[in-house]
Amino acid sequence: MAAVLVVVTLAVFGPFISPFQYDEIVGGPFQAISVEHWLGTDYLGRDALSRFLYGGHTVLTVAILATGIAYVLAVPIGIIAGLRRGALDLLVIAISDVIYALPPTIFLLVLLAATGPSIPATVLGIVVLHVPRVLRIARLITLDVATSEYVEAAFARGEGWMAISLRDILPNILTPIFADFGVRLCGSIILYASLSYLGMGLPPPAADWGLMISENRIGITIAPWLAIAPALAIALFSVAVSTLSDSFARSIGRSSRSDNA
Amino acid sequence: MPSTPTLVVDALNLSDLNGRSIVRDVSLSVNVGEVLAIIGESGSGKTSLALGLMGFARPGMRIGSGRVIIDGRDVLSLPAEELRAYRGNKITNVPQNPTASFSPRMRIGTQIREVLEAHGRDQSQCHSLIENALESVSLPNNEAFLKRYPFELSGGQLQRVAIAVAFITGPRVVVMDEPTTGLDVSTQQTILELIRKLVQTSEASFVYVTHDLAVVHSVADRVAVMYRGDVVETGTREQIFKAARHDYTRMLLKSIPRLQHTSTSPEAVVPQRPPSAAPLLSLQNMQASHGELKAVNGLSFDIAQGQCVGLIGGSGSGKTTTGRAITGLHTKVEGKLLFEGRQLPWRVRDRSKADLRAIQIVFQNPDRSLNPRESISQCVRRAVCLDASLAPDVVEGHVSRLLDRVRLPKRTWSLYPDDLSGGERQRVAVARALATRPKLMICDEITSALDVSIQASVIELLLELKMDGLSMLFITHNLPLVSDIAETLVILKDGNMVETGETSAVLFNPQHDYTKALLASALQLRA
Repeated sequence: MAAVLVVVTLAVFGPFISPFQYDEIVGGPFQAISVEHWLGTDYLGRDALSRFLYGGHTVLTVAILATGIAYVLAVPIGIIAGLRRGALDLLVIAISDVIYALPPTIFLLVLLAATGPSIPATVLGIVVLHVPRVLRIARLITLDVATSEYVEAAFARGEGWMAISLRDILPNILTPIFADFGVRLCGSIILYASLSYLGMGLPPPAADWGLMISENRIGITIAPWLAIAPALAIALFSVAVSTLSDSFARSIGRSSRSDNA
Repeated sequence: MPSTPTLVVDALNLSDLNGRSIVRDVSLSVNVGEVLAIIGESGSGKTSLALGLMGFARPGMRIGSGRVIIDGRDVLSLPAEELRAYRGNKITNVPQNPTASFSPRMRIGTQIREVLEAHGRDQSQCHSLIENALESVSLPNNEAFLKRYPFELSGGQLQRVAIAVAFITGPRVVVMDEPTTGLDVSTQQTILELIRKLVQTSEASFVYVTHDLAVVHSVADRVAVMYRGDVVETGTREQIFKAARHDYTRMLLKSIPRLQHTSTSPEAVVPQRPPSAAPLLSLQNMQASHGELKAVNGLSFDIAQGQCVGLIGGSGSGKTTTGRAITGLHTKVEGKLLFEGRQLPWRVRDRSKADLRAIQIVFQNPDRSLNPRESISQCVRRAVCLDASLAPDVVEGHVSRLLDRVRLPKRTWSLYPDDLSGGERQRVAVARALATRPKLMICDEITSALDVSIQASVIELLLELKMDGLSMLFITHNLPLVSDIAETLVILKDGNMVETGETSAVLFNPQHDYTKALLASALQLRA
């Protein structure tokens, strides 16, 4: 919890507290840690702390945006497919199987190579990758909930699809959906970080954690902290997000658990 | 009777983690070859007590003070290692739900052998022990049977395996927790006979936990009645049934449904209405299947306006399928369904909203038929609101009237299903069914998940509703129960209708052998 707050705060407010501009050359390359430059300088002599503070911004935006959009699209489709079954369900599953078969990183690299690296294209790519996965989970849990007698009773008294989806299905599938959300968000973060490491994120001189790791690889023996700090931030953030969403899912799960053991 | 009892429980206290007392100062003793029945309704602490005897505490529960002495040794004070050697060996357990107590992915034989190996029996012994155990519970003891998986066995067979496992180590104490509750009447009967036989031949003491007085009557030597964590009365079977001292015991005894043999005239109980000319619902030559399996084979019956038809059969007889088919929830059906003289399509989505509202169903298990995320009043309001002609300002009035009708206290209205007892939940389900103002209500075993005392009050409620003109299809395996409420009975066996007729005619003059067998196995109590 605290870890998430720290990382999110860094990523969101980093630019406001950073001592220098992210692309301002302030000294020689690979300078050691000093009072003036807390993380030293990078391979071009820019202030590493400032770049670190700027660098979380895009990862966070892309990851949250992409994962959020994927859920908004996938959960309703999953519920409808699971509840209505039939031809619609088969079609949805067939399409999602095709997307499933694509290797994520390669798919994104090809997409970005075609459109040129940009934030909207990256978000779109990650959404396309997430939708079938999220949809499958929503559909599977829906299938399970849909056999409950309260859903049958609702059909038997003539309630509409919408009412049943919103009042019977959605509230009862939220726990696993939230638990899954954290994992997907981590996935998005790592996907974007790898893209940017591979040079398909924001173009230089932009500051970006993934990019920083790759830029400063050459100096890893002289100034290892330049690569370690952003890598650590990415790792910490992923772990924190998944723990948080897990405990959130657990807490809403607990409030609904029956106690007739 | 030997002078020293095998099992002595001395001032046992169990409490939950917040310190609320679940079982208070219980002291009992059971002799060799004796069956002590612990009886009480759900929440009385009887299962917690049974587990406590094995040194277990359910999640969220703690064993407070007290001693459980088996053959002179206090089990609760044993170190964990030694306690484990006791459990499943010297003191064994027959669980309530056999399907949940076997690992679904392991062969039966392996699961039995596991118990023996865990308690240090060597391979050569295992084989003959298993053979004897299976023989004693009348199961086939061949390799093919041992290689089966739990899902390939019926509930009754699994319970036999569970019993065999409980006896295989030559235990000193056997704890049976409602071992027949999940089974249908005829299977229940054979399992009880089996237990009686094993009790006679083994040298153990028995604790039998149940809420079913009829079962107590047929197996117990002595009875301990539990009420809200206290043992309120202990005595021999005769004492309890003939001269109960505690009010609660007397109340329990009174609430058992009985066949009306003894009452002067059945008509006095069942209000007879002159059946109107056209039946409300008429089922003609219905055939239903589950995949390849035929579940119902040419069933026909009528339900007259304001009448109740009892549909009776053992498990697998197709009675639940019939109820679901009439409601429109079973799709693989053929035959004709006439409702108010019109033919009704089988599937929910082909029926008009008005027709859907006119036929409502109440399911067996209220734990699964209520949305856990909806409060009681939300749940009923939803069903009320389906009638679009209702002005928004009268909706609340309707909801309150319905909840009052099923006698749910006002404090429960804002609660969620998890906060209610089984009986209260079932009342919510009834209120929800009534909310659409149905003409026909299908009650699918609606009392079988409930305690006897609560059962009686639900039946009373149904009788009241019937007086108001509601027609019903009452599906059950419990003959005595249905004799209180139904005018007509339909007896099903393996998907075929074997007998039908007026309730009194079927009960007092059964024609078919299966009906006779059902009547004979409906355990009877005559105080």
